[in-house]
Amino acid sequence: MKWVIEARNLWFSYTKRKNVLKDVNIRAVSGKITVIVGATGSGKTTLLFLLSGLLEPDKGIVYYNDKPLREILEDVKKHIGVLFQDPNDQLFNSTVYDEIAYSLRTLELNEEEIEEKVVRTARFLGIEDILGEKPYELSMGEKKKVALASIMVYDPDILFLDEPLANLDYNNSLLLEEIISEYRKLGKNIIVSTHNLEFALRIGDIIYGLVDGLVIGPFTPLEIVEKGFKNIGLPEPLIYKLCRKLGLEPKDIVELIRKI
Amino acid sequence: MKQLSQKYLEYLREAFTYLSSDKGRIFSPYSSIPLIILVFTISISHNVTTYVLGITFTICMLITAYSSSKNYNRVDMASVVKSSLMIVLIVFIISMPLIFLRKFEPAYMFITRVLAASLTFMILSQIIGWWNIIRGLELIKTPRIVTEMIYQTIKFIPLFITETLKLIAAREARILCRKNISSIWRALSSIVGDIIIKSYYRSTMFNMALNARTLSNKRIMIWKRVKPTLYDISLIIFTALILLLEVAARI
Repeated sequence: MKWVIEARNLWFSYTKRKNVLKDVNIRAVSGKITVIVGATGSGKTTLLFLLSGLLEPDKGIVYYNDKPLREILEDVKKHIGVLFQDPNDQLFNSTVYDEIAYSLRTLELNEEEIEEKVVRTARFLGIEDILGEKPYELSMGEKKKVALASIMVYDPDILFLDEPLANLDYNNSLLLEEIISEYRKLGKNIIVSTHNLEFALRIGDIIYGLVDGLVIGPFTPLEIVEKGFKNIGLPEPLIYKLCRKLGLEPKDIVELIRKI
Repeated sequence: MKQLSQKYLEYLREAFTYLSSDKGRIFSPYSSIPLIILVFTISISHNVTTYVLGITFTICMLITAYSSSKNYNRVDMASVVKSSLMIVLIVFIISMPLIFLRKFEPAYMFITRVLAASLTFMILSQIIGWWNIIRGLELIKTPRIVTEMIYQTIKFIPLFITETLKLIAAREARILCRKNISSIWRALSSIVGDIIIKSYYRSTMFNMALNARTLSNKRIMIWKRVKPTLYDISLIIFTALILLLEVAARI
């Protein structure tokens, strides 16, 4: 199913003193990767939580296919997968198996079906050996994989990935990027938040900048490279600097970054 | 002192993790009510035969569950033994006054009864699975809000203990002077405020994680699809037998 997610005039604050998000407008469509880039504390996580219905905005509305999310949340929940930045916040079951099986159990599938799906997902992510372990005893990278498996197992159409590369080593980062690309090919709606501009340029189709609660964009990766990085509040990535030194054109820089 | 408090918290976390397990491979939600009746009957019984039968049945179920499950979904025997030893230790400590007062008969009855009831509950609840127990409560029309609260509380405690352990470790790492009892005490006593704040944050995130990962709002309908398993039926029959035995003993 195709999904168009739109945030219109979103305002949000945790305390009365400061607005975390100010009049945010964002649009994300299926088959594209929408990336929200911004420095730490710029409100990326809050924005993802608002878009996924985990938080309610003070003002403004989030629409899924032109219907207000609040009205249809219970029906669309099974299409939404949220990967938290810190897997410790996401994991709460007693074993890895239970952790991955949790969402399927809430869908009332039978245990045989659940087991088959859990084992298949765990095998794909290379965590089948730790299915019997307690989540709090795992390394951070393993926890992240378990959190990812707990989403992948029910195959949602809409994915919210909050700093997906955080706590992952190089190989696992590559694996995750591959998974994200595969999901794009399958026509899923993927919204990623990150402070890693290089990663944003590499995977993003549409990029929004978030600076002090204000959204800038949308941009394509080429537009970001052409217009410079200063207006989205992040420093130029190392690879970009290198490419400029080599005298490459913006179009070639984007192509190179995406190929790498 | 630090190690003692940490060890205690770690054991407590393990116990709650063990209790809140969702393995539930051989039983279905139908086992939840017989389990409660069985444990209740054992705990009010004065009949040693009831205790022995209860423990024997529990051990048989444990072995069956262990041998019929795959390694990732298997009952953790080490946890069973550890928790059982903890229960034995606690029961003996509590019954010490009776032993010192040389009231051996009441002490014997107290120890056997508490051991039988708590071991039966602990081991069977692990095999049945916390998820099945909660759904079983929903079968008898326990309000959803109550079952959700029980479920979330049991799930939240290990998270909270993990957070506390991290806070203790962080404080410990920042004690730069020689680690004597007074310096450790000073560092750890100020932890209470942090724990309150952290528990608020942790519970907010836990609530969000539950919301994000609970995909259906109709968990209560599960009983329409599930059929009682052979093990459910054996537990129901055994509970009925124990109940009859107890009634007969009382008459």
